[in-house]
Amino acid sequence: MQHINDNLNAGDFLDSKYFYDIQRITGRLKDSAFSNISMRKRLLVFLSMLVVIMMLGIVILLLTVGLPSAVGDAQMFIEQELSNITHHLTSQLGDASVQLVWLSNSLSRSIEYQLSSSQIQISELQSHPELLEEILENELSLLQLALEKTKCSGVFMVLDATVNPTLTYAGNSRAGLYIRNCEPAVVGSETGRLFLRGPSRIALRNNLSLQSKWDMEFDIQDKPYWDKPIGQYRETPLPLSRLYYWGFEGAIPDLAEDVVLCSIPLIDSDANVFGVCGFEISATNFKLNYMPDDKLYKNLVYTFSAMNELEPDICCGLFSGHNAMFCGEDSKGMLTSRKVSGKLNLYMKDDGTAFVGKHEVINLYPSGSAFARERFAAALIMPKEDLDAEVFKRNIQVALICAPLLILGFGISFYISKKYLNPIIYAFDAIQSGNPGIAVKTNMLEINRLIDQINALREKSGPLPDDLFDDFIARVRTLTRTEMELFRYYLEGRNSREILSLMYISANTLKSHNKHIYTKLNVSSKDELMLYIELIRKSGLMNKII
Amino acid sequence: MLEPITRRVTDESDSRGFLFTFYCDICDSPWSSIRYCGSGDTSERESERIAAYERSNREAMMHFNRCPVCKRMVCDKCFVILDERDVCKECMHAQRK
Repeated sequence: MQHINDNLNAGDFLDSKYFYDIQRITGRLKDSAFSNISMRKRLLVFLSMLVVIMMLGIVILLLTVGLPSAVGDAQMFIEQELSNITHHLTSQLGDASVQLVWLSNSLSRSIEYQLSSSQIQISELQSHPELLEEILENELSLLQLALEKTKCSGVFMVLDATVNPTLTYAGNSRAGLYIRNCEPAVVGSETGRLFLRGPSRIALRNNLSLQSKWDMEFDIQDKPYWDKPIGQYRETPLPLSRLYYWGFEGAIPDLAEDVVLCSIPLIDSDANVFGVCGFEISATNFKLNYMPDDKLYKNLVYTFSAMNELEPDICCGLFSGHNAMFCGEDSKGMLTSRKVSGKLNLYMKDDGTAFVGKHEVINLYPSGSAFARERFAAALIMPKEDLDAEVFKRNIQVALICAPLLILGFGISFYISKKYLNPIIYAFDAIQSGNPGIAVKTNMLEINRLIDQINALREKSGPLPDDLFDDFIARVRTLTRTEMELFRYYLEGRNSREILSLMYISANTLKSHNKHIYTKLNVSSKDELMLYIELIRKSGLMNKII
Repeated sequence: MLEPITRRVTDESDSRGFLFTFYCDICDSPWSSIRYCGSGDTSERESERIAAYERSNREAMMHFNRCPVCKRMVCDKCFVILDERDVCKECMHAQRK
């Protein structure tokens, strides 16, 4: 038994250095058992935090590197689809341009041949309006052939002459033919049927239908398809391959649909311009040929329009897709674009509707062309709200994937915390229960060492404080009659001199009795004995013992 | 004047001071008190001697044990500590007989 400091009083007994080591260990055990957060909960919280951090890391990793984001998917799809459709479009437009050069040459030679057989110069064509219908009808087959060779929706030829030069508006009226293979205004038209604008007798004789917007001749006032190539040729007589002109201004007033026209001058062998010919790609034709894949995004719209400096100008353009925003007059407006996160562009229509997508600049003219500076754009866009909905849907999917993993992680955390700490808890419970010799061992080296230290300390220092007192009380009952009398005097607070007088014994006898008492009560000195006696007084056990 | 705690007490006082010797009631082994010095005044000598005796008597009580049976004052050698009751040797032998 360790020595007790002589100056300690009974109240400080349990806090004394004597029990310091035991208290240090048992106190911590009690603290761990009764503190607000147990070891198990603490470990559970730590593991749960670890799971949450790992899940966040996985989510960030998936969103940044692994799992493509909705915006990334949309970007990839739009870029690929835009590239595919634009490739087909530029291929068709390129073919049309080539065919147009061929058509212009063919028509020019054919008409020149016809007129030469009549000893008439092309420059004198206006002076012979009676020949115009025949000339036009003779070129009908060539126009039909050219239309068949391309995927265009129409072909036209306008001569710089009118059948009735005496009319008031004859200055802007020109004779010509305009054949279309599709008329959206005609319901139930059979496939292969052609619609003609021009002399009606030609239509009758050749079994052609008249266009719904039929007229005898063509008004060329302020018509770019007429003015631009002819004016450009007269200004700079370039080769035909450098003179064709693409424009969105239709040749037919009040046409039910938008069209894009490619026109080229008709030039005779004397380098005189006597008209234009060209191809038409209608909105219907465009929609049929360039419909974007709508499996992933229902409201995709593919547009082909002019480029206004840096942005597609859809005031005049063709559209394909299923978006109601691009039907009728609502489709008009400038698409202003700006970059969004370096991936997709954000396009704003004049009415504030937001779209996201990509556009490509298309160059329809060869180098050296008179119109090389004019650029076109093909854009594949979709409503921004669709992309937002897709992003939301993707986030929900990620959440649905992560939520079970998170729950599983929490479950594993709970299991691990329980499994890992159970041996420690059992060991600590055994320590707290005061079992002599702790047989419980964990599979953790540090905890086993701690238990060994506690055992060693117990063996060295004896039982715990509460047990010591009980043990002391039990030992009191082993005292002899004389020792009990002496102990009672001690309880009564008698000093040695008084006890000697009362008991009529010598000091040596008293010492002997004290020695026996100390041995029996397992104390090492009178001071220690007096501490126990003070505890007995405070605990109210004094009368019972006496 | 107090009765001596032992049956035989000798007064060994002299001019140097007062000294009393107490003897065990059984083995007659002596125990002497310390020597108490007087004031030297002959008129006070008797009263000083009585005072020294009483002090020595009380002091002797701490060196002798009273047998609870025979009531004799015995030295530690003649006093036996037993579980039931502490007694002198003679009483112990008597009890055992």
